Amino acid sequence: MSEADETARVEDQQAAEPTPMSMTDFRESFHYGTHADMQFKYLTKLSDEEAADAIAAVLATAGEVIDTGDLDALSTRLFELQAVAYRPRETVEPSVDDAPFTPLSGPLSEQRLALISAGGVFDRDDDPMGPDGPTQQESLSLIKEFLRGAPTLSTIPVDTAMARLTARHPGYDARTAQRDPDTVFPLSHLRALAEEGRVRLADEHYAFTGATSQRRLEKEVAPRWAEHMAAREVDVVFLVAT
Amino acid sequence: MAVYIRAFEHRAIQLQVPRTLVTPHPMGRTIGPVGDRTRQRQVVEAALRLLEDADGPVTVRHFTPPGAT
Repeated sequence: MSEADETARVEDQQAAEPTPMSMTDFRESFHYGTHADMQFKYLTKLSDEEAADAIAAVLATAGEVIDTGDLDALSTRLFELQAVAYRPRETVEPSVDDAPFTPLSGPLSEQRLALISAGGVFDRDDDPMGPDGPTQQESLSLIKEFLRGAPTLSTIPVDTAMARLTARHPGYDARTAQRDPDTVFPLSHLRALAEEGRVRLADEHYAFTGATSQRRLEKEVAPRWAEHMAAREVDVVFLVAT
Repeated sequence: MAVYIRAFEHRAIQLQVPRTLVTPHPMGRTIGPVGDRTRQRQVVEAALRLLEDADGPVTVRHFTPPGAT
């Protein structure tokens, strides 16, 4: 075999062998990479050692759950790990200049309350991205477009059947809200409380996708939404983040 | 007036939200787990109580499930 042939053979062999994935590459792959998973994208915020410990902890808890059936333990473990990953690395300072506070002006049952969720919930027949809007999985590849764009407010009438609702959001796993919209859009609970006389609901409730341009949300869009709700005599807003 | 429900406290402080209920649920399940209507109802009721009880700006309350220690 000539030297050139040997070189070519070695290069072919190297090309055929996958490059070993480092721990850094692995944990970062959950953040819109090859293992994109919005439930574990926080791994990119951890060090390699922290991520290894987190994964081991989840696997250990999952192993226990097989025997115990205690899904709450797994949920608690996941929340604890998320809390560590998203904890502020520095002292938290306000990013706005004022802290408005409006006292309740009377019994809650006499205030007109509107629900606003950042969970990307919408009526299946009124997709804010049009009838051919992306699926939840497809939306992940559009995260940059979402973060540059202005959010659209979906209006959901108070009597909308929960089965009509779905969700899409490139910042969290909206399949949870697809399975049960009340997880981020608790309209059915508020309706039940209204029937009991605990609250008074507005005719319209709202949702948008929180993965959006925060500047455009604050400066352009939210003020218009506030005017819209004030015109509909909304007294109280019930805000739900994801 | 407003009440805000979320899973992590620091954003509420950054945004100076009037009233915030912090819930111990993983991302995307702010009100509670799928199908757990008891927990979801408890969270909604806790948020309504916060609306009534808060007496000043940036009031942050942590939701604790009834019976939890």
